[in-house]
Amino acid sequence: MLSIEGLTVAFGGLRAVDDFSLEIDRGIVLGLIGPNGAGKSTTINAITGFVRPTQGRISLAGKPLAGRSPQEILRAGLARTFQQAQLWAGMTVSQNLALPLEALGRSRASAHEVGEVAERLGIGDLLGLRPSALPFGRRRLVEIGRAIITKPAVVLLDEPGAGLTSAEKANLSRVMRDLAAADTSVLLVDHDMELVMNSCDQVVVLNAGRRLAAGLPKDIREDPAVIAAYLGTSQP
Amino acid sequence: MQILQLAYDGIVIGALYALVGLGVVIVFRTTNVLNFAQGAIAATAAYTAATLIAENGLPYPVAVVVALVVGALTGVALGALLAYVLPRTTPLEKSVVTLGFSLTLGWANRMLFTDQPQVIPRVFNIQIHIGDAVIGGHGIFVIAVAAVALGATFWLLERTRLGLAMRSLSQDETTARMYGVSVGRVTIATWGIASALGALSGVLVGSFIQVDHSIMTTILIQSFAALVLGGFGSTGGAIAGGLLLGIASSFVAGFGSPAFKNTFVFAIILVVLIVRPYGLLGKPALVVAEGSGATHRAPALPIPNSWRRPRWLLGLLVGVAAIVALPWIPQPFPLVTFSVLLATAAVAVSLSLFMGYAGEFSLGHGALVTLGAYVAGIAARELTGISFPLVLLIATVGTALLGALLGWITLRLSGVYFAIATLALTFVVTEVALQVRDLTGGAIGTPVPPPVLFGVPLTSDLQVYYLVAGAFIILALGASALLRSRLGRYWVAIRDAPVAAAAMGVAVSRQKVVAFAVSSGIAGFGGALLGTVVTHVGPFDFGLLWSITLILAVIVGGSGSIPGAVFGAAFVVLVPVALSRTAGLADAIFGISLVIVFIIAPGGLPAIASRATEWLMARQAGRTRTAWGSTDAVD
Ligand SMILES: Nc1ncnc2c1ncn2[C@@H]1O[C@H](COP(=O)(O)OP(=O)(O)OP(=O)(O)O)[C@@H](O)[C@H]1O
Ligand SMILES: [Mg+2]
Repeated sequence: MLSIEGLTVAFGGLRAVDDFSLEIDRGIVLGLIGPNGAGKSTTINAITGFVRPTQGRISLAGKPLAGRSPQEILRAGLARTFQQAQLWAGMTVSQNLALPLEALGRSRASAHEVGEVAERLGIGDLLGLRPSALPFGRRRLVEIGRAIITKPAVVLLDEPGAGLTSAEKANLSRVMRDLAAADTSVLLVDHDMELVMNSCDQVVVLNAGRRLAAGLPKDIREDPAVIAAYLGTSQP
Repeated sequence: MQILQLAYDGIVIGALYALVGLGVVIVFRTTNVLNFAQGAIAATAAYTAATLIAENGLPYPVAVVVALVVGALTGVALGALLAYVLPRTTPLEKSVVTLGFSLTLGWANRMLFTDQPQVIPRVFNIQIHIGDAVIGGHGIFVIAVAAVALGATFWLLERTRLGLAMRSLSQDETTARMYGVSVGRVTIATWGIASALGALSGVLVGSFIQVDHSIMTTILIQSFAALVLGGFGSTGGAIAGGLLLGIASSFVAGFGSPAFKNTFVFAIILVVLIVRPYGLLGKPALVVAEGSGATHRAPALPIPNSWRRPRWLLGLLVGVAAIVALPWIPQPFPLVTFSVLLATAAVAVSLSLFMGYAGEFSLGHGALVTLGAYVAGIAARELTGISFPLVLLIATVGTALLGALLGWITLRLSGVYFAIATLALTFVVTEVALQVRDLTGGAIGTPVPPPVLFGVPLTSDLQVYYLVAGAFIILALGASALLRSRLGRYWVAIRDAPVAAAAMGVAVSRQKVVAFAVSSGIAGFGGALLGTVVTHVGPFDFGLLWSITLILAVIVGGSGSIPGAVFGAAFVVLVPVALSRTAGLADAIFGISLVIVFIIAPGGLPAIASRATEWLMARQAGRTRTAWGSTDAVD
């Protein structure tokens, strides 16, 4: 489905992502983990057109995407969220959710789709509010809603679990499983091992821009190289 | 031999551009601030040197050293103001503050020194004749001094720890701090070095041409153009761009017409931006859209939700009633002042929408207003009896198209290029207006005949007032409708979180172009109104100073707010009238208020209003609590 081959992103002398390859199949949740500064966000930025890859191929269902604008990439079926909250403060939740549809010229059915997505995420009662009036966890959900409303083939979530309560994380996990069941693949970047282990079908570990390991969550959890590079340092 | 002469002249002037430009680049690379005060700082130094030599009889080298120190300290004062007094403002806002500082400094120069242009004596008065060409000793001196200064700066930036620290600061302040960079010291050093370079150019220029404020502004603009040419990010680019532009414009002046010098510069800027947006020596940017958070700090004004909201409707009715009733209320100002005010408010609305939503600022709105006013004058003269709404339409559409073109070329790039292009536009419009005399009346300008509505020419002040008032109200309603449309939502998205807007399918740079085109159109509309009210338009009426004042109006009123635009326009129109135009004082006051607004009320009027409401509510809550003081204990 989404395939990344030999992706390299260099900032001056620093190779934030270094010859990294990744394949995401249809309808799965794939965890991309790694210590701070490993290059996870940069990978997402490169995939979605925010950073120009120095090298490498990116394609979605065979269609090449490297070098395209964020707008074209969204249209092709890739949507994302950001590590730092990025809601539009001057608009209500429903306007926030509807704008991507408007921007892609699909505003006709927007009221219906906004309602549907909001129900799916359990924020149906918040549509008339502004983001500043919402608790933090709900804002994160609105961001996810904004990303999935265009029905992308793959949605890339950059640390959606950061700052959530455990109940909210459980809900997030359910949302991601639902998405996968409905054939939307999820790339989950997060530092919370429990969230990753509970939600993901596969996990890829990135360290200093390079792939360190890949496999099933339970194997990754026990991989000594991963533990040494990452799990052993701060996480249980 | 003319070629030799022109090349030599070009190298001398190019060396000066490089000095000024390098100073601008140093500040920009370290702080992301575009320093518009560089010209005023250079003028300060030149005045200092000239006065010390002429009045105090100091020898040239001593006077120059003192002048450089004065220039550097002035720059350091500005840098400290930005870093310590306004630490939380965005680079864009800081750049605006340098404009205000420049105004105030210009006024201070006029107070401290003289109104008269000054000349600094030359060091070497020898002349070498090679064929027809005359190579002046002072020119050689300038080239030598500039080469030494540029070399030293280059070495400082690229080879020393200080240079490294400066570069690290521009990338990421937090990381730089972590690595032990003293942000304060580096900032001071940056501004000191940069301003010393500007001061040096001022002192050197002062021996060629008489020093006055406007000369340095012209040189500053040329050096901005040189930076666009060479690539904004690189030191080498600043030097190469300066020399290239100096030589090129010397040849244009020699073989073509010196009257179109600025237009030529503008054309170069545009061509370079189309062909090689990152400059001749620059490299394309790696990061297409920044991955971090939004920079907008001002309160996020909500989209006005519904036309039926009673508060909104009430505000509208009160506003309209006030505008209608104004001629019948006793007050100290003549009615025409208020016609000017409302016409200015229309332009302020245009800039406010652009600054508030696209998050860029334009120095070219004065030029657009000038165009609109000329359209009004020329259309009414050539097409006698043309209906005024038609005039407004022509002015609006014409300037909107120009804005679309300019925006299309420059807004794909970072805001710096756009700001520079709009700055250049100001000078191009003046230059062209001076040259096409048949149409514009040259330096004297052209009268704007009375507006005609339904076949009747409106001549009395009252009629014109109501005409302008009607036009303004229609404009304000139109602008609010626009903000409620899909376009308005795109702009709010870009303002609040541009990165998310890009990710969610909004074509950010295209929308900025649309916003600038709309803004330009409204500016032309306001310009036609202004010209009609004043009944005359000339090439210098709405220059750079006017554009800066307009930015102030928007900032005072709070960018993005329509009532705020009226308030801001009232501020900038009524203050000079009330001060009865004490020479330059209004400028100084404007410059200072720009800084003060950023200190006490970033976000302008709406921010003050919302803070006042919060305070009132908190007070009320406090009072309720004291009244029920015992409940806490009971609970
Ligand atoms: N625009 C940029 N310019 C220069 N360096 C950058 C840029 N963006 C990221 N980097 C660097 O690239 C490296 C990878 O950063 P990235 O944000 O991708 O890490 P991450 O894995 O997402 O870390 P975290 O878990 O902290 O979010 C870091 O060293 C970072 O400093
Ligand atoms: Mg990250």
